Amino acid sequence: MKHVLLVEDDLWLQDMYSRPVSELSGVTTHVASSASEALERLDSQDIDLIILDMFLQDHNGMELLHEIASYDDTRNIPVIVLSAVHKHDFAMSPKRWRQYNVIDHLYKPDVKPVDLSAIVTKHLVKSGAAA
Amino acid sequence: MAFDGMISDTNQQLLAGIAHEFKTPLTLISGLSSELQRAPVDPAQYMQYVQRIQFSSDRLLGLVDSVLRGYELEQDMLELQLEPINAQLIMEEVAHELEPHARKQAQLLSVKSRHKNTILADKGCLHAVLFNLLDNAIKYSNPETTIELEARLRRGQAQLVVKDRGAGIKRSDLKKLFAQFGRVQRPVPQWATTTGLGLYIAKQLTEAMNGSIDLSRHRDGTSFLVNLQLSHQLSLFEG
Repeated sequence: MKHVLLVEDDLWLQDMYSRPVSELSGVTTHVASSASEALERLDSQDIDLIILDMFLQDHNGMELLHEIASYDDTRNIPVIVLSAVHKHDFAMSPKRWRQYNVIDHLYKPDVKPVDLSAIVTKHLVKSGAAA
Repeated sequence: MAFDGMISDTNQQLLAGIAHEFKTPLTLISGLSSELQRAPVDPAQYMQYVQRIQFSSDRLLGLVDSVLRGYELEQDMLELQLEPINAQLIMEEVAHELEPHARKQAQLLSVKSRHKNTILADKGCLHAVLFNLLDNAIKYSNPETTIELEARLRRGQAQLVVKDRGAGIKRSDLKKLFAQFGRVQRPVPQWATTTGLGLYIAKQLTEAMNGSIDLSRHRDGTSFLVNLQLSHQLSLFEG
């Protein structure tokens, strides 16, 4: 069983995106609606892939990325950024994204829930964590 | 002050703010519609998705209406129709529209009226004022709190109160609070990006209806006080 953590603070978007991912065979979806909740999930569960909204209520996603990269047991978890802001509007170099192990950027208005489950499958396969 | 005369940075700020504000409801409408087409869902889930699509559409309409009224006001194109309005009913209407938004954060909305008088206002404008103030209160209030709307009498006028339960506003931020694009340093959730126009539009529309907006800070949040004239007959009743 592979474990995907979706960090999204809008509870309706969280529900919308998590449902199709949960339907994937061999994948368990965990959800967090804040950075602190995400860190708790990471403490209690080995996670294979993180889907991260960059704008959260208690921290911004950048701080959470930094936190994840600070610990030995989490720094290698691949991260998919899911945001209402285009990749090029973040003040981040490609190198910096790579340092945070960000493997993909998804622009929310373009990504249907079912697309997300296909993208999750692709990355789990690519990272060798295929279900 | 007209939009045409703004420097490009301001236009960009306006457009970026509006665009970002619209993205969440649009993403929900698009995503939930695609889910309904993708696979059969049980009746309860179907109803939940449809209600969320409906709410997201209503919220978008409210935002568009607010921005358009602000534009009309700037262009001196706004034609007001002042008429007697039941304050409690319009507060309940706005609360009903935004209740799902509050419920997402386990917030409750409470509407009460201490008098039965009607007020003199333009219905569409008053709706936009209350929509902006309540939308703002939901964004700035903590989860699991109750946001209060109340109609009361103050010095012979009607006063509509929107009381949030958040971190409050610094004294130094009060002046810029109602400025165009002014966004004060409150620990607002990052998702609550606003156009920065909401409170400015609310103030301008209220003043166009011969009213005023005051602000009252309290220990656990802020109250926005919309002062409007009572309608003629009921002013006599009250006197």
